[in-house]
Amino acid sequence: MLTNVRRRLLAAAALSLLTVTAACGGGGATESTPAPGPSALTGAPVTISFWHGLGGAAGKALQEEVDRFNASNADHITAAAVFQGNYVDTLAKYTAAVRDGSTPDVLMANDVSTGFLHDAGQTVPAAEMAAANPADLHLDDLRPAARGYYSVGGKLLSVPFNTSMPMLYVNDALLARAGVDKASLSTIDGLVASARQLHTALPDVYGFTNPLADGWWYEQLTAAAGTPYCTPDNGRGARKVEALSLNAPAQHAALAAVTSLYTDGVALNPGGNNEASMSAFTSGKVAMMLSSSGGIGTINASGMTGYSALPLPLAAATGGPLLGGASLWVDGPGHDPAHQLAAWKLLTFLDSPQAQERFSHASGFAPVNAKVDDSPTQQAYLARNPAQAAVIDQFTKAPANSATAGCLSGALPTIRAGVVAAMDGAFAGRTPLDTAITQAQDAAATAIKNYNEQVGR
Amino acid sequence: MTAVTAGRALRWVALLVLCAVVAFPTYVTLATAFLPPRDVAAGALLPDPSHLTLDNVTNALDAVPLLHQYLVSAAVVVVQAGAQLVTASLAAYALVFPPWRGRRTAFALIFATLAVPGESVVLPNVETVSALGLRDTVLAVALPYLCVAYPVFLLRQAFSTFPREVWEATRLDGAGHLTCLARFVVPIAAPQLVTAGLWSALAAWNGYFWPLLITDSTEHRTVQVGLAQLVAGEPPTGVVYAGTLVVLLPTLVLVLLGHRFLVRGLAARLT
Repeated sequence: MLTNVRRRLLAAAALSLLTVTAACGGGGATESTPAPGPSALTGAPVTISFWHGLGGAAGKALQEEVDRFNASNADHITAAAVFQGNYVDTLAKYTAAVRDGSTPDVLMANDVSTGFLHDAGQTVPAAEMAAANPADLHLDDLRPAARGYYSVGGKLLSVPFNTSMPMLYVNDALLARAGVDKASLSTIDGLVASARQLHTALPDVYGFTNPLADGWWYEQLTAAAGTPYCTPDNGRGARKVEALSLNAPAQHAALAAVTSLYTDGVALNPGGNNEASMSAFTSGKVAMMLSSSGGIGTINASGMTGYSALPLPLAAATGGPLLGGASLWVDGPGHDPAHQLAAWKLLTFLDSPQAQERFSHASGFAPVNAKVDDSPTQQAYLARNPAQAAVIDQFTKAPANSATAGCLSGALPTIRAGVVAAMDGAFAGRTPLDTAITQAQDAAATAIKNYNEQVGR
Repeated sequence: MTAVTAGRALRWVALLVLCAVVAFPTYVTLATAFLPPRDVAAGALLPDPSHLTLDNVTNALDAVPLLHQYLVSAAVVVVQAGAQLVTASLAAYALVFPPWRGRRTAFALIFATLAVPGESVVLPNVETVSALGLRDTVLAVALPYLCVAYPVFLLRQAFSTFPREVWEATRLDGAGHLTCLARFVVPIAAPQLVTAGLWSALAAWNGYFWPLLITDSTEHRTVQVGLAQLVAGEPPTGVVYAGTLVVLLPTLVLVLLGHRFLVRGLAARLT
């Protein structure tokens, strides 16, 4: 409940922030001041602040990388990394900081906050920082799918840092008992047929499950169908997002097929509790589960062996997985060129192949820097961890287009909430799918309209 | 006779069921905190005593400086709850004893602040406290909550039962207002003061969003923010439960020691 209160507060704060920035003519990501070049750092010591939302093992691994940066960099830069609550809390604190001019030099924000931060216009686009500092981070080294997610109009806004991928986890023994061939699981149709085959052969076992309370999965089924979730073009072109679209033929077919698994009792509906999917899978009550690549650590910790991680089944040739995770933003207004460049040096370090490899092994997130693949220690690690190897294989092959980039709108968190609420009725069999789709689209239309009006478009 | 026995038995069963429902989450926290992850994943709710381990607690304390943040939280509790008791006593005294025009309106205004959601004043508070130059200090965590309405309400009700003639007599004897409050009113209202103090202390200990917003460094943070850091992005493992237990412990102790006063305070509100 507290979280809901904070979400509402965040929404209110975010809108008031947009009003402030719009009133000051600062709306949009275009900065009036150019990104600072190498001359901005004069050798004098600089201390930069870095707000993030990573706790637990990932937070510890991030702190270790920041410590390494502080010990090693030749520019006398000291980065002070501070945990600011989970992603929602961090963004709430950030919006408060914009109002009193105390934003950090570097902000970590999760995937769904990208549209909002783009509109807030408080940051310097990563593409401009990279262009002004060719000796630092090479954006071409970052995997195309990761760059696609955080880009608008082909311009990278922030630097992807920790990424996860959707994976299909399967229980090898149960599949063998039901005679399901893993090769048939590369398409949504194959997945649905296999789930039915599993449940028929093994009536005590559910064929499939996924965390329904997480709006990410409806976006995954859409990206798998190669269609944009928001129109026009997921907001990745010149025009802003105007509507949510769940009725493209391939997308609708994928949604309908997965819904039928739930209404027919073939799939386990975890309700609002995403952990229930995971524990049902690790205890062998469910044969197949769509979940984030972050789940590998949880499955291994449960002691489960004999499972495989497969790529997201697709519903169209142009389809692909949609990434999740967070990216790093360099703050512009209120931060002098030396601090902006120092921030960029930190990002260059954190996205370097060495740091990305270490962070990936410690946290379970997939490395965004493709050069990590050349490292012998990484190759040895992947040989020992086939599930992680499958994640990286999918990440590397993921097509980068506007469908797999996902919906870029500051209204996305609200859209997600509306979609989850509406689709919950469809999966439980209370609402016909097409009614649920209409409800979700209507709720999204209101959310997008309100948001766009606040931003002044 | 049998009907009475059956009724008693039924009441006991109902009580036991209620206790089990209420105690279950605490029990799971306790068991998960002291068991290796594999036992928990296997659903072993009746713990094997030979498997009990302190690893989770050690790991939790190692991941986040919870012990240091404990001290910060303790300081916040002392300052915040102490100040609330002082300001609430003064306000309640002024609202009950000396006759002055507008005291009913004043009470209504104080009472009305209970209806204002705390979250709605958070952003202006950030701006004010930052402007005072107190951002990222322990004092800033307590500052907006030095005076709140609920203890005022609680103590006003308690003070109202104090015989007015006695107050008038002490005043006629030449006692000042502060003397009256400290020497005569407070001793009689001691149980309600404990109730108000417990309420204030629990609220101060459990604060999360404000301490997170107004502090920027780990060493000025309260233990609830530290716990959030332990939890963020992690599945609920033994380490998370161990941290929860560490943070929960003072609350449990306070409630166990003070439950008589809490119940009395609640009952007093009804009269």
